[in-house]
Amino acid sequence: MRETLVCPICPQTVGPVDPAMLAHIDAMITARLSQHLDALRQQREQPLSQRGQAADPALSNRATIVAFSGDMDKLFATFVIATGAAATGMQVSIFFTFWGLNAIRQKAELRGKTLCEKLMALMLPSGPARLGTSKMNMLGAGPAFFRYVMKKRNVQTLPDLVAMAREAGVRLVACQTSMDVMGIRKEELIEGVEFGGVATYLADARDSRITLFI
Amino acid sequence: MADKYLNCRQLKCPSPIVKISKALADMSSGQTLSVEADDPAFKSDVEAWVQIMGHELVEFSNGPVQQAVLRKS
Repeated sequence: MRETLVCPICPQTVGPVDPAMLAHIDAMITARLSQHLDALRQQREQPLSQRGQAADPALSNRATIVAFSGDMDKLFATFVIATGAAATGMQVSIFFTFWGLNAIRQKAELRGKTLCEKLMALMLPSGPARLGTSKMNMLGAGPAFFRYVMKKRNVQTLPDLVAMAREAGVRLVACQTSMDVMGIRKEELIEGVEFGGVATYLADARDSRITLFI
Repeated sequence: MADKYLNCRQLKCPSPIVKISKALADMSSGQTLSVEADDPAFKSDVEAWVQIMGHELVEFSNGPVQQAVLRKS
């Protein structure tokens, strides 16, 4: 039997309507809605790691790291991440400032420096093979122990990692101001290091999808 | 039979993926690379790397020495 009904939304009187048709339309709407809701539910429940390339396409495929720390353990993290990023096709640059500069030194120079600079040069580690650890340094016993364990486990040394990073195309930039403050000269750094200031860093960092301060 | 073999035994992160990255760069699309490694992080790293780079991990076998076969897209 056909009936007239008032639409709950409009509200217009609609009819006469076949109740079977009405039921059918209802069922269709419910089914469609369920489909949409299911898709949304699935999307929401997906862990972030599986959402694929969710990165902002406006940020270029770059990674920028500020290497502030001169601790061997932290510099390890710096170089492993930088090299790994380069291996995934990213353009990587590391900005060495303050203590981080020790990672890219190859020798300590004393000639031509003022007394302050000479003292600094003597106190600072002369390169990545001589760095302390951020914890458990124990006057140098800590890093010596770590280096021993790493050698046993076939983990690369920090100087090796630095070389590997360079080979992988990681850009190394030394902070000019820090160098002045610590009395480090250009000649003391390894080959292939560029020199820059904060604007150089910012130009890279603002376009990088990965920015780190280590 | 893979087109190229890479021995990454005894190598720890990030060496395996750096080597894989270099090896695949020199290969043509469709070629396969077979890699052997024993680093526990290898499986996870290789899976992540192929996902990022858009290549294919054809097969992976576990064991004291793990073996991964990759196909360049």
